[in-house]
Amino acid sequence: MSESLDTDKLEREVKSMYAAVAESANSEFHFETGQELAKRLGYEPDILSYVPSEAIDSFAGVGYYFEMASLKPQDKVLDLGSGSGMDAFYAAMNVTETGSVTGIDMTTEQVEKANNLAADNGFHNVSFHRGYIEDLPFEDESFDAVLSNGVINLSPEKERVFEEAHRVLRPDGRLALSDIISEQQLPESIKSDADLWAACIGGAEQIDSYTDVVEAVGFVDIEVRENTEYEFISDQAASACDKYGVKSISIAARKQ
Amino acid sequence: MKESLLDIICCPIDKHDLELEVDEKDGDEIISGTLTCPECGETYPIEDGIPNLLPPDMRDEVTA
Repeated sequence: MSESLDTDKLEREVKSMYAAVAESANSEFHFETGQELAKRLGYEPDILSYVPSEAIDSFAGVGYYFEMASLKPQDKVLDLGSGSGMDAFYAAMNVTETGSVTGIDMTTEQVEKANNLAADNGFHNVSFHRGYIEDLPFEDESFDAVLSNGVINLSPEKERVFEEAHRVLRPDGRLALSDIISEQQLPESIKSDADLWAACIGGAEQIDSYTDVVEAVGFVDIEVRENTEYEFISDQAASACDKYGVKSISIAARKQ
Repeated sequence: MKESLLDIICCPIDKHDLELEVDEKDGDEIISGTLTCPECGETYPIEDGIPNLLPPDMRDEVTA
C-alpha cells in the first residue's frame, strides 16, 4: 500500500461515494452503474428479471464472473462488499432456496437498502451485515464460494482480504471475483489520491502482484480473464486507464 | 438477523463465537439485541435487524 495514502480519509471517501450510489443511482460517478452496464458485462437477462430493480439500478460492478464461480443449489455464498445486493440476489437465483447468500459491506446505507430489498422481495435466504472485508466476522470454513465485484481494489490491505476469504472457505471452495487492476505500477500521485482510489483506480494493483497475493494466501487453479466490456466514464479516470493500462479482470481460484 | 446466523458469525477481531442477547424479536428474526464476544469482551449491536460487526474502534458514523 502507498505510504502517503491517508487510509482514514480513504475510508470516508469510499463510504460517502457508495452511500451516494445507494441513495441516488442516477448521479454522475467516475463509473457506470445500472441495468445497461450489467447486461453488457454478461449478466443474463432471464436471471436479472428476478433481481430487485433497485439493486440493479445501484449496481456498480466491473465485470461478470458467475460462469467462473460454478454456483449450484445448496451452496453457501459470501459476497464481499455486497453494496445494494445485486450480485447477492443474482447468486441467490443460482443457489436456489436450498442455499444461502450472505453479503458484507461497511457502508450503512447499502446494507440497510439491501436488507430491505431482500425482505420486500421474498429473498429469505439472503442477508446483509455490516463489517469489514479485512476482518470477516465469520467462522473458518463457513462458505462454499466467496464472490466480490469491483471492491477489493478499494482496500488498502488486499493481502488480508484474500487471507480472510481463504479462511472462511471450506476446502475445495471457490473464489470468483471481478476487480480493477493495472498493467503498470501506478505513480504515487494517483495512488495517494483518495478520490481516484474510491473510484476504483488509485488502488488498482499491478496484475502480477495481485495474482501473487491470491496464490500466496493458498489459492490454487488461478484463472484470469479480461473484461473488455468495462470502461470508466469520467475523463480523469479514462485517461489514467489509457496511460497505465487500468482495466477490469475476473479471477477464479480454488482453496485446496 | 436470523438466529441461525449465529452458526457462522464470530468476533471479527479474535474469531471467537459470539453470545446473543435478544432485546426484540419478530418470529425467527432478531430485530435488536447485542452480540458479545466472551473472549475479548467486545460487544456488537443488532439494530433494525442488522448486526454491526465492524470492529468497535472503527465504528464511527462520519458519513451516515
